[in-house]
Amino acid sequence: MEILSPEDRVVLWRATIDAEGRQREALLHAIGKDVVDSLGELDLYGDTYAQLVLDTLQTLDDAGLFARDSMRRCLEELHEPEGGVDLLAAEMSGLLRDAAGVDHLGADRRVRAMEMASEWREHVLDRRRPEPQTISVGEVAALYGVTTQAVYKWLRDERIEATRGPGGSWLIPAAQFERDRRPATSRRKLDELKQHLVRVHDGAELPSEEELTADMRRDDDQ
Amino acid sequence: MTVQPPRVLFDTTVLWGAFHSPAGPNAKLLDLAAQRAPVLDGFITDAVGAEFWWRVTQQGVKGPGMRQPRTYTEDELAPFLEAYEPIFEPQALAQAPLGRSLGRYAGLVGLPLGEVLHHITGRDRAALLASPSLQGPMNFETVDTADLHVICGAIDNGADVLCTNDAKTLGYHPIGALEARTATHLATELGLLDTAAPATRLIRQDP
Repeated sequence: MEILSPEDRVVLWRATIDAEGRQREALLHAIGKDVVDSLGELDLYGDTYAQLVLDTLQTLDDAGLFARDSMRRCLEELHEPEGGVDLLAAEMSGLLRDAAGVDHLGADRRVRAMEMASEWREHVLDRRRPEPQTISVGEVAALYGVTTQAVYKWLRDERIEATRGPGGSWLIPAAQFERDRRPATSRRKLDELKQHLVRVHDGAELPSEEELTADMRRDDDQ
Repeated sequence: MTVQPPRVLFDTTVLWGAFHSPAGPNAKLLDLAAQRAPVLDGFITDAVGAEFWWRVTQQGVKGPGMRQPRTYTEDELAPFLEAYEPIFEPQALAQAPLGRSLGRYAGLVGLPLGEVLHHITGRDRAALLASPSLQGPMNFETVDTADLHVICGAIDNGADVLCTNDAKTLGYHPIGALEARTATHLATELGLLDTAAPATRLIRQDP
């Protein structure tokens, strides 16, 4: 088992984007294998995740999301000691949620995308240290079901509290996410809802979101 | 110091969009609000909630080539209300000072819209009349009175942002400190939509 360097992994990612057909499929598989091997070397993920990694990458590619620059960044930082694994897992979770909205995947694969998003999310959150003072970018993304890019934007825009650690990584105080005492819904409930709605709307030729609003306006005017 | 999370009123178009596109920008915003994420403080009013229920179960939506609108059963709607319970539960619902009809405020027709909003919400008259879009007279040709409850609900409940996909409501922007934004706009501001172009394909160079 030979683990690729971050630079080589990015080269492989770029080559995958550039490839087509069976070659693309093979390269995607190679990235998946490297990610699985990397996770195995870090002794964080069991064999059960091998298929999940491959299915995730295939789904993201079919949804047109594998080429996102955020994927490159997460693949590059996979071995970062400050939450590199969480970063990739959370990003895949966030992107899978986006994949659940890609019509051409069909209802079954969109529902499966949501299931996989939940699996990645749960895995990140299950590995959280007990009573941590600070949490990682990946953990915040998993907490709210967003991509890591969204969390980086919140940090840049100072929407959440954080300081820089000695190595330049973000130190995000955990307490701020428990400050709002009002009842909150669970991510699991939201994930189940998305799956329910995909099934409810399956096969229905609904107007686009813009047309829906125009439709409402017409109804009001009548 | 972090920036104060904006207080955001979602109107019916946002709920309607989230119901139909569970992975779209409308749903992403509602997800954050229902999870009490510290980046926005989202809410709806009783009038918005009632209007949404009526849209889903009674009025429905007509897709391309459909003769009859598709409505949804209570069972189909229930998981939506349950997952977004922190937004829909009665204690969380803000009160709108106006419903979908003018009712007892009908006598205000003809006054400048800012004046009308001042009468209904009791908010600063000068600030409301300072907004150019509120200086014209309110009449049935210029103002959709059925949607006035959204603006009144936002003003009355201290919203910073009125999140709507309705072009007509967006036309009132800005009203004092209240700004109207589309769900796509707000979701982009919060980094929920990836606006960066995907990586370009490598350009092969001849050896």
